[in-house]
Amino acid sequence: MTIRDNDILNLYRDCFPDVAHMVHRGGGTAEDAKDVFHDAFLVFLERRNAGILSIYASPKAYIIGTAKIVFLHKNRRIDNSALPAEVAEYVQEETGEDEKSILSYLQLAGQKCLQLLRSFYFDNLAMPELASRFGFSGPRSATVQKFKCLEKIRKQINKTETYAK
Amino acid sequence: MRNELNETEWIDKYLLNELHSEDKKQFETELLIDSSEKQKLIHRIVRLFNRSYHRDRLEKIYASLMQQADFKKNIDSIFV
Repeated sequence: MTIRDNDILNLYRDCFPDVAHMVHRGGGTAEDAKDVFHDAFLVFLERRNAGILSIYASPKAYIIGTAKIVFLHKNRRIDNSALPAEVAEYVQEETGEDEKSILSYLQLAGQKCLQLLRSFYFDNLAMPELASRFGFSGPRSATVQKFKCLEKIRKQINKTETYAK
Repeated sequence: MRNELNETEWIDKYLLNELHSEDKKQFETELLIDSSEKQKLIHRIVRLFNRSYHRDRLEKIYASLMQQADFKKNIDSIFV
């Protein structure tokens, strides 16, 4: 289920001061605090939307704990091998140059496709909801459009140097 | 197009761990690795886009909270 704006706002207001204190104690700036907090929040949102967040940790404890790990990693106080799997995956994907290059192109030439695929994969919208949100005539039309979007990205991937055969 | 559509959905289910073990084996033996690798890359690209979407949301929330005097005062007091 997609998290509502108000829930994010309340969680943000509740957690950020703690993260700011932690970053300040570690010698970081207000900007560092915002950056690591946003990284941790993004990891939390991905886990939550995928339904794989541990039920034993509160959202606040999870976000603050993750922010601490991200901060220590950015300051090279812990290396990649010590990162929890979800943070390691996040860090690794943030540095993928091919992905970033294709994404930059698509943000100019395929914004609607990206929105559609994001809603399908990460908001977990079913085809009827997808059709309604994006103005398609029905689920079948949304399915075909999703396929066309995947094909569009695949073609762009084929044009990149690394994946061109 | 119908076959290609089915293939795309098949790959999606595999990547989302929605296939039973027998179907998973069948998938792994029948589909080309190349196709699967590209689909994985597509998932990573859409995930990066999802992050940028939520990062924008978080930036807006930060800006809005820093407009609130109590919140701003609290944060500013930490970094003096």
